[in-house]
Amino acid sequence: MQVTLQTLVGGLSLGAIYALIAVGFSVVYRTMGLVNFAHADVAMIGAYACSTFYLTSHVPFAAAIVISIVVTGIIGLIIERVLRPLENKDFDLMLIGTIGFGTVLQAAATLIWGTTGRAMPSPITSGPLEIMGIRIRTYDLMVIAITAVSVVLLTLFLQRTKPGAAMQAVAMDHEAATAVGIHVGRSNALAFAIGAGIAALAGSLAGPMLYVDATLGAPWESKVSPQPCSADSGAFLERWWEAWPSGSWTPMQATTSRATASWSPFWSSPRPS
Amino acid sequence: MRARTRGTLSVPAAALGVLLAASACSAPGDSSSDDAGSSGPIKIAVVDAQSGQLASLGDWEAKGAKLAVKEWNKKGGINGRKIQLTVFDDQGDPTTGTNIARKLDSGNYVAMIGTAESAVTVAMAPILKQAEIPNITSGQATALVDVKSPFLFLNGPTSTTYDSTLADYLVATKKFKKIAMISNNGSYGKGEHDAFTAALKKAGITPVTDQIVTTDQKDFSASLSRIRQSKPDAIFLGSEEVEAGLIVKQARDLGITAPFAGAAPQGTPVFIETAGAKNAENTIVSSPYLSNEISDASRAFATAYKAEYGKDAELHGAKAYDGTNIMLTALKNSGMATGKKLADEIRATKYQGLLGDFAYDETGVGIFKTTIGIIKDGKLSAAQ
Repeated sequence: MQVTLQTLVGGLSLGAIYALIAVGFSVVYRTMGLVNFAHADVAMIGAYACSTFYLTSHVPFAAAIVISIVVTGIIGLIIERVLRPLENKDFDLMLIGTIGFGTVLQAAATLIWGTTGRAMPSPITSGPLEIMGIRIRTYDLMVIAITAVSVVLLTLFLQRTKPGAAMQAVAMDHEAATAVGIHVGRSNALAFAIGAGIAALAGSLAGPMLYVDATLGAPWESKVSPQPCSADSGAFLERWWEAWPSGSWTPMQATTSRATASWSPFWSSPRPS
Repeated sequence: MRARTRGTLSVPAAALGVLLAASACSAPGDSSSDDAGSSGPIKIAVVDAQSGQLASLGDWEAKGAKLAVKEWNKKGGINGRKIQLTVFDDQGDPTTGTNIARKLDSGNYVAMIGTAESAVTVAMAPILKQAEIPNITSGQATALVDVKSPFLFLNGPTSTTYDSTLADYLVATKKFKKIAMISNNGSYGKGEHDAFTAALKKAGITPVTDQIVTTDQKDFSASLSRIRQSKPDAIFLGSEEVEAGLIVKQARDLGITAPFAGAAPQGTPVFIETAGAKNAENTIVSSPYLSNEISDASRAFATAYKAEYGKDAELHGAKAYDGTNIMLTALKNSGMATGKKLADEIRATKYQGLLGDFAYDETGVGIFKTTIGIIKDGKLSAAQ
């Protein structure tokens, strides 16, 4: 029992990272219908950027995260700008374009930061809490809290602000959205920037838990990407739901990283629409 | 099997030679390999992961090999001919490795240094054997010996040596009775797991728990909770640098205080950094190269390495440096032979290297000793 609970606790924080990745991923997917295969690599760049500012420039961890979100948000804008001419023309090429961007980002990370990667010490120095024989890392609690807050903020943005409403409109029907005067290109760009920013947040938070190198994003890609391909249209935020438990689930299964595929339909069924 | 008269064969004769060679189960493209040794630079390949999770390993190895070659070239090469080193990226992937092996064959490479990942080397071995390209690998899995290729050599001890020394230290010297194990299911982890289990069995000890994780796992709470419940005196780690570091970091967070014990990866800066120096404290390491301070040769090597790359030398660079030097020495002593003759020469080479005195046996292993080190203040030093 203790082992199961401990596994659950350990998995929840890693799951929170997956959830953030998935949220960023589905923001782009919902707006444009585009599976962004570069998403996990954008998160990797975010992790590298954060670690660079935190370790090399010695800025506080929170500030490093903000800088990394801005930097990767800009990368998101660039990706969207390059792919924009293909929009509504050739979707397959756009898809392949994102794969290409993923490769470019990995290569760029290797060029900038080298092949060896780096370990990030935890920004929180206080020891883990012990509750009934179960140890909970304070950093994990912080990660879970930040994820929860980000999901709430994104929901508010989508429901209470004009650009958010515009994004939802584009997601529903981009031609109708154009007809009512919404700039679809700008809305898509915003989606890409937000998606990349959230990815950077996830990557930054993952840094102290994992090891930052150019292949950091690889396991995320297989966990998060395949799911929306079979999903119908609807809410932006459904993915975090599905991704969160996979953090606990995967180590329990201890088989392959593709384990999520087998259980995702179970979680997908009560999806909000 | 093949004509050794270099450069004198006419084209039709060479073509005929190909046909004959092909019938004797040789790969296409072999026809010119016998000419490779006669003029121009001597082509040697370094095959290692330059990208992916094992990139740091491949990077160290390539650096060690490059340094050795640079020193030889500075002295004028071998018999006035320069050595040309080409680095291939196998991405730590066996399939990529076999493709590179074919490239080495058609590209007329005389010898190969690498790889650092046993699984890749094992996959490449049959092709290299057929092409008669001697290979000195940095792998240590016993699977390398099981391949039984006369062209495959190791530049360090096998897992058996690492782990029997380690088990001996834990059981006989430290008098530990309760030993837990955690290893991954990759080629390295499995090799370590089997070698250490065998060594423990010989000492009459059964591990209190034996946890297996995957190579891409990131959360080890489940395995570590079980280890914590078994209250071990020490925990054996059969995993590569980064994953082992994460395991140790999470173990300390879970309140496990027992020391960890492992082989070569646990002595590296990447492991210590990933785990955090405080968490890695007291880790027991079985390694043939504990530090750059063990001998005059290692000090000289470390100085040259630092001057060349601006970084501190470590085990894997030293291993590749030794391996490359053995290869070049054999090339020189044999009058730049290739193929089988070169392999025989390597087997006959006695070499005093950074890791110790190399003397190869039939299995391609040249060194049979490791020493025990302990991590203190974030640095590996010899056990007292």
